[in-house]
Amino acid sequence: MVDFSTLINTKDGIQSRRIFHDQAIYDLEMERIFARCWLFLTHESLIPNTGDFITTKMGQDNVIVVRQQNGKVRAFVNSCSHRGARVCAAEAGNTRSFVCSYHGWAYGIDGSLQGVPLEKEVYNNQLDKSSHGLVEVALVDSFCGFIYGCFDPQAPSLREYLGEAAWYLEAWMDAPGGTELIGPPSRSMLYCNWKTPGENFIGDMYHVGWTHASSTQVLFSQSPLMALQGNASLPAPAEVMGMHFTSRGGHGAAITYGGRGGIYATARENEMLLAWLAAQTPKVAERLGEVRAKFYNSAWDGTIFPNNSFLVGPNTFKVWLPRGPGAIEALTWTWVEKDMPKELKRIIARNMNQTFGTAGMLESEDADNMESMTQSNDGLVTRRGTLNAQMGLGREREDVVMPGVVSDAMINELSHRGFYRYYQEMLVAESWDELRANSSKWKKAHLER
Amino acid sequence: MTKHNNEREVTREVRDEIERFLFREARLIDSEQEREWLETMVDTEITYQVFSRQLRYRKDTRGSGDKEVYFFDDNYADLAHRVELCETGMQWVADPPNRLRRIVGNIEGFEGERAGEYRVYSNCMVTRNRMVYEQMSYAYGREDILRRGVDGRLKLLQRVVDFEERFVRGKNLLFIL
Repeated sequence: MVDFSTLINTKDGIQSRRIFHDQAIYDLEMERIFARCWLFLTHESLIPNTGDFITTKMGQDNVIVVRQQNGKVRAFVNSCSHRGARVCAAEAGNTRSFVCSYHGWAYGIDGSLQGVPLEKEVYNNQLDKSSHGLVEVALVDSFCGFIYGCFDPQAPSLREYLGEAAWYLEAWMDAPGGTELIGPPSRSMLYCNWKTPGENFIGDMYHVGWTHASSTQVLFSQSPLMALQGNASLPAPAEVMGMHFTSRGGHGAAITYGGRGGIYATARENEMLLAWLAAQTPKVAERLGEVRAKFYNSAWDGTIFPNNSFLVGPNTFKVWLPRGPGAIEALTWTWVEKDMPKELKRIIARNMNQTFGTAGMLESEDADNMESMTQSNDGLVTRRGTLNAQMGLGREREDVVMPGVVSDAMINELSHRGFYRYYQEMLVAESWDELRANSSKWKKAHLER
Repeated sequence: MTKHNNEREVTREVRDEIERFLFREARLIDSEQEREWLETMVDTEITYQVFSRQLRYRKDTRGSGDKEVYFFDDNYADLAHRVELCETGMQWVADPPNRLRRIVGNIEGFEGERAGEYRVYSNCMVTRNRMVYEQMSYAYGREDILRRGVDGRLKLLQRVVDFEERFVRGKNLLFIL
């Protein structure tokens, strides 16, 4: 029997390797994390009209996300209440109904059962259609246009769930004029555990210079990130280069100051982005303050717990859908600011696909690491061991402006420790009430030495 | 992709030349001679695109948003970056080396819209072996435009791949298709 409360040691930055392998742990993750947390679904910009829908997964549950008559977005489990076949085979589109491919039961976009073929003849009019609608996802809400869903009606609001991370995320998600995703996503298979890419994106700036040594040399020659190439030296102390944060809900990021520009293929493309950022920065500063205006101009890598990651700079937006302990489906979009000129949006999308898309140069470099980090734990003796995320221990602090727990060292594993702190808490806690009770003291695990 | 069934087929001589071009290209790419491929077979005005279509219902014409995502949307400079990446000596994903093997078939050649240009269709089956345990396969069709240069040699001016495998099981497409 697994003692789930001993998998993670936040204070010392140690994690059990079993969390990347054991089926029992995975099953509990589905129940306690994926059936209880807010999970990314889609963006308002991808389903603007009544009847617009997309299909995706929450954990391993197939769901349909659809825009209603009244403009609200609702989500339903994509499985017929009769014999369980899917009611929508398309990835996206516009519709007035969802019709099961097995016997033709038809559901409205509000999830209600509207039509049953031969209802009178074969059911003698005794089928209670009102109790046979599609199962609805309890909560759907959006933050800066990014739509999330949650199966658990007891969960906190999306805003409360994002917690301190919301303050940071606004620096790019709530850019003047708003942001949007360029759809559709690319979809690819990786044989890794779903947490592995999440912990990489949440703030691993240590790997950039090494894993991506070749691509930083070729692609980022005009970027501050070039300084990391080869992990031989740092051009400035890590605290001058950026910061790290973690939050109550395990969300976190590394922020590299001034790193958002300079990563595009040509000088002209880089100048275009820099001119755009320079023009927007005063507006950001006015609305969100100087600190977040600095973040707006920075490169970020971050993860929203549990399985939603993003970069600012290469502007990738990712979801890691679990497919058992050793496999995921990666969904990848490009995000842009709505008001950007069309040409700049295209430049950003091109760059994103060249770096973090399915044929992306950096993406494929990460993939091997993520897979071997997972697969090494197939070995019984190997997975008896633990992993080390101790970088930056003792340098955590609170700040008067920046919420959560922060560290002034950009190359750091504070956000890893925060991710796994919350991960274990979610696995162990029976209820959201229990989680809420811990909220006043969560920082202690990071700050008390 | 537009099909041009009423186009004029190229002569047998040109067809042979096109076939030799595609086979040489396959051999260069599969034997890590990307630099040679880029410099001798690729037109500097190239457009190189590989895209994936979101799956929608046939009758659905009203859905919002783009329907394609471009894995490659490269010009000559972008392709040069990909080749440089192989040459840094620090591309860990290709060390130990990946082994590619492709079969090119169903080759058809038609006279292009401009003189000295040919529209060429071909199908590809690629197997990539890498590390000890990984083997991946990819099948796709290509629609190319080859252009005859001033030196009389054919070069690749445009390649469009409408990639059919929506969920890419072979992890990534980090190779020349």
